[in-house]
This record gives sequence, C-alpha cells and structure tokens, in this order.
Amino acid sequence: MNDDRLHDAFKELRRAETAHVPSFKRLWDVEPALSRLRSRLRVGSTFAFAVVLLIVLAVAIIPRRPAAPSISTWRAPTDFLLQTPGRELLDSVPDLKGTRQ
Amino acid sequence: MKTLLLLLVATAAFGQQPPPQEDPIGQQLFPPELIMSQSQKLHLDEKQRTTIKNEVQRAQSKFFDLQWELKEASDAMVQMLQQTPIDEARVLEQADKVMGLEREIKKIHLSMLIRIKNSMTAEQIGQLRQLRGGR
Repeated sequence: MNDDRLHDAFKELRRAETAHVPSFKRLWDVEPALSRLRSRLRVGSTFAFAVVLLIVLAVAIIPRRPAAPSISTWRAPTDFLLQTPGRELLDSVPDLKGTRQ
Repeated sequence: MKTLLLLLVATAAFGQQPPPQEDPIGQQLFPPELIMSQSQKLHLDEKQRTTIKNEVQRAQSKFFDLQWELKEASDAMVQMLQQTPIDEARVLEQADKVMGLEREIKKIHLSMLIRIKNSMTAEQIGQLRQLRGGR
C-alpha cells in the first residue's frame, strides 16, 4: 500500500466518523441549556432528600399512641389482685409423709 | 444516602417495639411476703408486725371460701362451654357469677395491701421500692 492510498483510506475514515459527530456549534449552543438542566436536577434531588429526611424525623420524633394490645394478650390492670397469698393451698394437697422436698 | 437508609431502618425498628408490660397499680403496693422477708432490714416494730399478721389472717379467711366458690363457678362455666351449641345466655349469667367473685377477691386483697402500706413509714416504703428494683 503506497502513501496516497493510505492517505485516501484515512480521509475516508475521517469522513465516515465526522458524519456521526454533532457539529461544534450545535454543542456550543446546547451547553447552557444542559447546564441549567443539571443544576435543576441537583436542586431537585437535594429537595427530595430533605423532604424524605423530614418525614423520617417526623415519624421518629412525633409521639405516637401506644399500639392497642391484642385482646388475647391484654391483662386487666387489677388482675394481680387475684394472686392472693395462700392461693396455692387450693391447688395442692399437704405433704403429710414429708416425702417432698 | 447510607445515613438516610440507616435512619429509615432505625425508625422502622423503633416503630415495631412492643409496648412494655406495666403494672402501675401493683407497683404502688407491697405484698406481705416481701415485707416479712425483709423485716430485719425494714426494722419493723411490734405494732407493724401485728398489723400485717392480722390483715393477712383476716383476708385469708375470706379468700379461702371465695376461691372455693370461684373454682366451682368457673368449673361450671367450663362445662357449659363444652356443650354444643353453647347456651350463650346461661354462660353469660354464669360469667357474671365468676366475675362477681373475682371482684370480691380483688377488693379484699386491695384493702389488705392498702392497710399494710398505710402501716409502713415513708422510709420503709422507700426501702421496699429499692428492694423491688427501684420502681
């Protein structure tokens, strides 16, 4: 391959590549708009983060009413009064032979 | 972002904590067994010992009869609940008897605990609170 043919081949390659590349002027014109968009996105994401943070803090800080206990686990506040002294006498028989420790 | 995630997880975990079991009424009173087991530390005088003994004896004499009746009434209720179909009106009537007996036992017990606490000095009450875990 001589120099001329090599030169032509590179020229052809350059032409093929430049066909897909946007013009510098167009990029130059679009850049300020892109910059504005990027800036807006940054502000938007910061705002969204702040809102989520506020919600999380509000959930953590605001006092909540305690969850109502289930009826099956609920105990009346005076139930302990049914545990009377000497109650075990009704549930057991006396150990007359002294076999139990 | 990691902080936010951690915060979210912590908040969720905080929200799922079960409410602590509390006994606000029982915490204010002291069972006679506790007082008698600590009588040396509390420096109970003779009058206090007599008061506690009398109150426990007075309550126990009533407890025995009431608990016997309660056992019978609740056994009868169990039998009623084993039938098919259950006679709702009869069971509710029996439940009234059971709960009436429970109410009476609770009142006698509460009265005993109040009288025993009233016989204690402020210092002894403070000591009993500490002995029970500082509540």
